Amino acid sequence: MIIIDTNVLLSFLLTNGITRRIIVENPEVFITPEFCFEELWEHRDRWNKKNLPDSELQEVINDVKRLFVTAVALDAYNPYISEGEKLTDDKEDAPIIALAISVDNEGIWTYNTKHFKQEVFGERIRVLSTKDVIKLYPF
Amino acid sequence: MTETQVIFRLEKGVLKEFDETLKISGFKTRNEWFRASIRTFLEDVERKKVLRKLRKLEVKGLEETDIENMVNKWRSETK
Repeated sequence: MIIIDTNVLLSFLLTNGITRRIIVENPEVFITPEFCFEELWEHRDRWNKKNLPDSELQEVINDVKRLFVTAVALDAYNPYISEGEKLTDDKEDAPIIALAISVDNEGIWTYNTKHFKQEVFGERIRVLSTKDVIKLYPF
Repeated sequence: MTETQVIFRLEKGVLKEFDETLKISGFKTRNEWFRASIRTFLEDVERKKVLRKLRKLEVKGLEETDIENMVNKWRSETK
């Protein structure tokens, strides 16, 4: 199981590239905190460049949750949020780190290794680049 | 559960191999395999439909760094 960051999730939605291919070929592997979907929804005006109506956009997001990336509810990782906040400079990354602490996983897949510092996480949480994920799930 | 009858036409040798492989694959009966295969097939079709829907959202030429910058930008602006 791999936890994906908001930027990876956004890439899945907007680009037909390697990120989407990895997720599509391994639909049981990827999870993310519900928070990441909420964050994307809140800022949809920034990335919904094709101006899809909200109803259609919501439908696509629900389909993605159901078939490709499982959204984990806050209850599951809430007890670890404060611990997550201590491990990052960006509070909005805390839910992802909290989820990584609360469930058994192979690591956090992110494009932003500045916010997710392996040296801070130590052996507890593994930070994965796209190349690392390809090594784990080759196609 | 609704019952329906399905007739397979299969070469004898292939059927023998299929039956032997079923157990190794963790299926107790042909019926159990068939049900699982139908579910997998329907899910695959559903996934393809969603991928078709995603085409409407796609933005060409976006790289990992563009996406990262987009997320960082809205985060810095809302702080």
